Amino acid sequence: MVRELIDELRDDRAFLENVRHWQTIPATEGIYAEIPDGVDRRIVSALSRRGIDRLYQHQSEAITHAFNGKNVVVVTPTASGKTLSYNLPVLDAILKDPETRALYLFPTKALSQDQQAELNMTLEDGGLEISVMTFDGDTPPAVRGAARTRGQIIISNPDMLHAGILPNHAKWVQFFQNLRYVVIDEVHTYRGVFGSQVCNVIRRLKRVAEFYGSHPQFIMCSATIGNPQELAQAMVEEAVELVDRNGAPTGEKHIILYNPPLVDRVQGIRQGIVHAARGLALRFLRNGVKTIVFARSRQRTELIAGYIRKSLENVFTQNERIRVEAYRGGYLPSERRSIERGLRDGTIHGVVSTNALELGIDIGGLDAAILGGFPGTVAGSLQQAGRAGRRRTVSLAVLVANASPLDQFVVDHPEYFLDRNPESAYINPDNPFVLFDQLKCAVFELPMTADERFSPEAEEMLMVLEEHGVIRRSGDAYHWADQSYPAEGVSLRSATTDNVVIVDRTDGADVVIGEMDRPSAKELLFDNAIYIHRGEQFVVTNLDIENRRCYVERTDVNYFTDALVKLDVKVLTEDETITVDGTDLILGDVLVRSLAAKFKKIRFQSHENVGYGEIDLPEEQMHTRSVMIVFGPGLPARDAFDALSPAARPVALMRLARLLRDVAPVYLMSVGHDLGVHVTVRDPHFAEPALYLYDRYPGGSGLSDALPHVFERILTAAYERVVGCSCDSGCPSCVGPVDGNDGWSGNPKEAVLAMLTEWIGTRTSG
Amino acid sequence: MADLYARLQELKKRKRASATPGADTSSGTPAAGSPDGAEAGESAAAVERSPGPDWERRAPGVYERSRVYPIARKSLPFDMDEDGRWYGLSPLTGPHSGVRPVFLDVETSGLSGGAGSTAFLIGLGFLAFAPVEGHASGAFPVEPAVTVYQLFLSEPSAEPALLARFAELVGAPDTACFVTYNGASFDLPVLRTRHIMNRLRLPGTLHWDLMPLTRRLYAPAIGSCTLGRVERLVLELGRDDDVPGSEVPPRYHRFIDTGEQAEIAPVLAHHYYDVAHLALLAATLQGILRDGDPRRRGVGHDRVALAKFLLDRGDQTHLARCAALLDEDIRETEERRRHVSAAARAGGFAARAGVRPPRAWSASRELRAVVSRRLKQWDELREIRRSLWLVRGTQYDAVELAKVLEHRFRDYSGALSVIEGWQEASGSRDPDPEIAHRADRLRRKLSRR
Repeated sequence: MVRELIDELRDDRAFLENVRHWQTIPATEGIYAEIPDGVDRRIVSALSRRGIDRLYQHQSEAITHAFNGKNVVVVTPTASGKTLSYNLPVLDAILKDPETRALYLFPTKALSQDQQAELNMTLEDGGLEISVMTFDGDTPPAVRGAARTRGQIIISNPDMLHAGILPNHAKWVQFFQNLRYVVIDEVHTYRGVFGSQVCNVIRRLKRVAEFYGSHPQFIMCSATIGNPQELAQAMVEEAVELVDRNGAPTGEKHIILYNPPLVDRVQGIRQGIVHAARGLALRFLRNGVKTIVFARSRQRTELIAGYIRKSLENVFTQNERIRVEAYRGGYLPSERRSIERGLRDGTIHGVVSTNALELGIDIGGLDAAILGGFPGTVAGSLQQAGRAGRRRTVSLAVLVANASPLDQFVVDHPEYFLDRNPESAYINPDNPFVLFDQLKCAVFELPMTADERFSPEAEEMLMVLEEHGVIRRSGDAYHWADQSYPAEGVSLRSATTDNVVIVDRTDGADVVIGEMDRPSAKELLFDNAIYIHRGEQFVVTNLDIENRRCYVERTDVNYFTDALVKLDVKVLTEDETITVDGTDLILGDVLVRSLAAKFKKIRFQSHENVGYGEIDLPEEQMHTRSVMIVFGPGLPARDAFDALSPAARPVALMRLARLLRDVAPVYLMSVGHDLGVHVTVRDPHFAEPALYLYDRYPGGSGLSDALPHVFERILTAAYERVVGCSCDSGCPSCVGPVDGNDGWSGNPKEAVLAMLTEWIGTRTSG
Repeated sequence: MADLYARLQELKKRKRASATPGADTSSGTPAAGSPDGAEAGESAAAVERSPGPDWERRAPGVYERSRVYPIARKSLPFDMDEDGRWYGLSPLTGPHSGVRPVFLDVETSGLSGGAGSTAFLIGLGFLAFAPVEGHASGAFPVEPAVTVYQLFLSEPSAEPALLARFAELVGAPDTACFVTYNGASFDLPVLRTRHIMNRLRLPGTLHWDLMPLTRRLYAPAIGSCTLGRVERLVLELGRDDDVPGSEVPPRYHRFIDTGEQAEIAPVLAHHYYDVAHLALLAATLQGILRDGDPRRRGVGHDRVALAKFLLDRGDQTHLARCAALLDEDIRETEERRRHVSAAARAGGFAARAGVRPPRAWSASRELRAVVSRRLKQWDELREIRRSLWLVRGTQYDAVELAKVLEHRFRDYSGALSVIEGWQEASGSRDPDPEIAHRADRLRRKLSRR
C-alpha cells in the first residue's frame, strides 16, 4: 500500500510542484558479526531462543569495546537494535558475578518503563534470573529498599540520580561498591544547560563511586549528531570509543521535503502547517497507510487530530474505519499506554503526536511519518522520520516546512538533512551558575578537599560557597554546613526555578493558568499587558515580581501589546579573539541589561499603533557568555558595512543578527530562544560597529563558546537563505518584512544581501 | 546571584596576584581584624566552638559532658543488676539473658536526611546504681540513676574522633542494646550513614525502638505519640522552655557561625532530657509488659492493645495475663454498654443507639476468643461467641458460634438453631451458599443420631 501511494504521488503534478526534494534511500543488507567469544553461554542460548544467532556489526563492536574495559558511545538510527549493545555486556557481567551492579539512565520516565518491560522480556525468555528495578519518582517507598540492596540493574533518570540516589548514597553501599556499568541512553538530549547539569551529576556519580572503590565504565547511545564522540567525552570526561557504522539492515526509504504552496509570494506567506499536514495525512490514511504526524506543540497536536477526525466523520462508513488518536504530554499514563498498544496491534491507524513519541517508545512500525515543521534539530527530524519503516519494508517520511528561516533553509538544503548531520551538541559544565548549585550538592554528598579536581573552576567557587556560609572548611576539606538538602532546590531541566505564576482572577476566581520565567515575564506580563492563553485574551492587573505572581483577568480588546525593550550589553572580559571569515570574533563575558519601559498597543490584523503605555519594572541583569563580532577597520566585514547608506546600517545589522540567530540551530543544537542578539553601530566598548550573539542563560550554556567553530558555516547559511528566498523585500522566511518602526523605509532584504555579498559573496561564489 | 560573577572574577584576580612571586600575602598569619582574611573565611575555620563551660574537650572538635539523672527506685523494673544489666529487657530477650540498655538519641544538622546531614550531638544513657549525694563515694545507700553522656561535634572534620568515642562508650557490642524512640527510622540510619561516611561500622547489635509499642499502648488514649506528648501525658514530666525539633538545625548552624552559646544551650538541655526520659519511658513500658502498670500515673495504657501485643509475641507464658486483661476490659465495656442502652431506651427515639455495640466492645471479645482457644477454655469461648452473636449478630458471629457448638460441644441442634436464626434474620437477601451447606450438614448430623 505504501508502494502504491508512492507511485501515485510520483504522478501527481500538483503535489510535486511543492516538493523541494525527493530522496530515495535504497534498502541495505545487514552487516553481521559473530557473538564475541567469552559471552556467557546462558546469554547465547537466550538470544538464540529469540532467533538471534549473530550480531550486527555495531553491536559486536560496542560489546568488544566494553569487554576491553573501554567507554563507548554507539550512534545508530532508530530500530537498529542498540539496546543489545549495552544489555549484552551488562547481563554478561552480572551472570558471571551476581554482585555486579549497573545503572541505566534514560531522559524520561516513559522510556525507563519501556526499557524495563523490554529487558524483563529478554530475561524471561532466556530464563535468566537478574533483578531489574526502576527507581524513579513513581517508585513506591516499599519497593525502594529492595531496589537499593537487591536491584542488579537500576533503571532511573538523571533527575532521580541527582535528587534521590546520590544525596543518600550511604543507603546504596552495595550498589556503589559494585557499580560496573553506567548506561546513558539518548545522550544527545543532554545538551545546553540540561547537559551541563547532567555532566556535573556524572561528576558526582564518579566521585561517590570512587569513595566506595568502584570505577564504572560508561556505555552511551546517541542519535545521529555531528559530534557524538566529543559530546560523550565531554559528558563523562574520559576517553570514549566511537561506534557509528550501522550494521542493521534497512528498508527502502523515501524522504520528501515539502514546502506548502505560497499564498502570497510578496509577503512570503505560505499555507499553514496544520492544513498541509492534515491534507497529507488524510490522503495517506485513506490509502491504508499507517501514519504518524508530528506537531510542534500540544495545541497543534489536538488541532490536527481534530481536523483529521472531522474530515473522516461519516456514520455510513464508520468514519471509513480509520481510527486516529492524539498523543502528547499531559495525558494520563494509562491513556498513553493504551494508544501505544493500539498502534502496535494495528487497531489505531493514525496518530498525531508531539515529540513525546520521538524518543524510543515502542509503537511498532508505521508506514509513513509526516513532520509538521522542522523539529529544530536534524537529529530530532531523523528520529521522527525513523518512526516510519520497519527493517525490511518501504517507508515514507515527509517534512512539511513552515515559513521560518530555519525551515526554509532546511528544505533548500536537503544535504543537511540527508548527508552527515552537521549539528553538534555542546555543554558547559563549568558555567558558574550551574557549578554553584552542583558543587553544593557534591559537598553535601562527600566533603571536598581543596585539591580535588571536580571542575577547573571549583577552587574559587568553593571559596564563594564558604562566603555564603553553606560549606565550611574544616581540616583539609570543605564540609556541608547548612541545614538544607541542596539537591531539592536544584532542577536539572529548567534554566531557572525562578518562575512567575499566572493567576486568573476573573469574577473573583483564583485559578493558576500558567507559568513564565521571570525575565520573560518582565517583557510580556507587565501591568496592562494583553496576555493570550489558548486563544483567550487576558489583561494583566498586577505583576507582583517580588512574590512571583501575575494576576490577570479575562478581557476582550482589539489589540495586543508589545514591550519596547531597551537592551544594553556591557563587555566584561575578552577571553579570546578569533579572526575568521573577514571579521574578528571575540569570545568573552558580558553583562546584558534589559529594561522594558514602554509598551505599544497594536491593533489586530492592521498592526497599526493605537496607543502607548508606561512600564514600571526594575531592570533585568544577566551575566553570560557572548560572541562579539567586531567590524574593525580594514576588514572585509567593515567594508561591507561601510558600503551601506548610513540610514540602512543599523537596520541591516539588526536584521542580519536575527537571521544569524535563526539559522544557527542548523549547526548548534539550540532553539531560537537560546541565543540573544544585540547590535551597535558604534559600540561604546570597541568604538566600532559590533554585533553580539549571547547565551540567554546566566553563565552561558556552551553555545557562545561553540559558535566560533561554526561561524563561517552559519554566515554562509544566512547568505544562502537571503539569496534563495523568493520574496522581494524581506519576509518571515529570511530577514523579516519591511517595518515602519525601523525608521528607514528602504528594502531590508536588499541591504542585508548587499552587505553579505560584499562581505563573503566572492568567497561563496568562488 | 547577580554578584556571583563579580565575586568570582575578584577571587580569580587575587589568585593570579598571589601566584606572582613576591606578591604572596597568604603565608603570613592572618592579622587580627584583617578584613581580607575575614572576608575569605580563612580565619573562621581556625576558631573552635565550645558548646559551654561544663563541657570537656575530648579531641579537637569533639566535646563531651556527662550528667547523672536520678531515678526513683520504685519506678525501675525489678531485675537490674549492679552493672546496669537489665534482665528480660522486653520485648527482645528472655528473662535470663541480661543486656546493657544504651539509651540513644541523636540530633542532626539538617532535617531532610542525606549524606550531608551530620549527627552533631549524640547522647548515650546508662543505667547504674549511683551513690546518693551527700554520702561518701562508694558508701551506701545507693540509688538507681541514668548517666547521660553527650558528645558534641564542633568541627565536621572531627567526626572520626566523635564516632571513636561513641564506640568506646557503647562498649562491648554483644551485650549492648540500643534503646531509642523512633530510632529504627531516624537515629540508627543516621548513625549508620555517619559511620559509612567515615568508613566505619556502626557498633551494637540489639535495638529496642520504644515507639511502636508506645503507639499501640497509648495512641488510643492520646492520639499522636511524639516523645514530648508521651512525656507530658504518660510520664507526667514537664519541661521548661523546650526547643521544637525544627529549630535544632538552625540553632546549631547559628552557634557554629557565631560561637554564641546561648543559641545551642537550649538544644543541649533538650537533648539531655530526651535521653534521660528515654530511660523512664523504657522502665514504664518494661513494667507494663511484665506485670501491669504498678505506678498508675498519667494516662493509662490500652489494655486490649497490650493483650494483643503479648498475644502477637506468641509467648504462651503471657496467655493467662492476656485473659485477665481482657476480662477486665470486657467487664468495663459491658457496663458502659448497659448504661448507654438504658439511656437510649429512656430517650425513646434513640433506642437504636444501644443495638450496635461500640467497636471496642467487640474488639476485646474477639481477642478474648482467641485467648480462650489457645488456653482451650471452651466454656469461656462459647460464652464469648454467644454474646458476640447476641449483641453484634453478624453472619461471621453466627458461623463462629455454630462452629464452637458443633465441634467443641457436639451441640448440633444448638448450632443449627444459630444458623437458622441468621438465615431468618438476613431474610432472602443474598443467600450465602456456605450458610446453606452448613445448615444441611448439621441437619444430616442430627438425622444420623
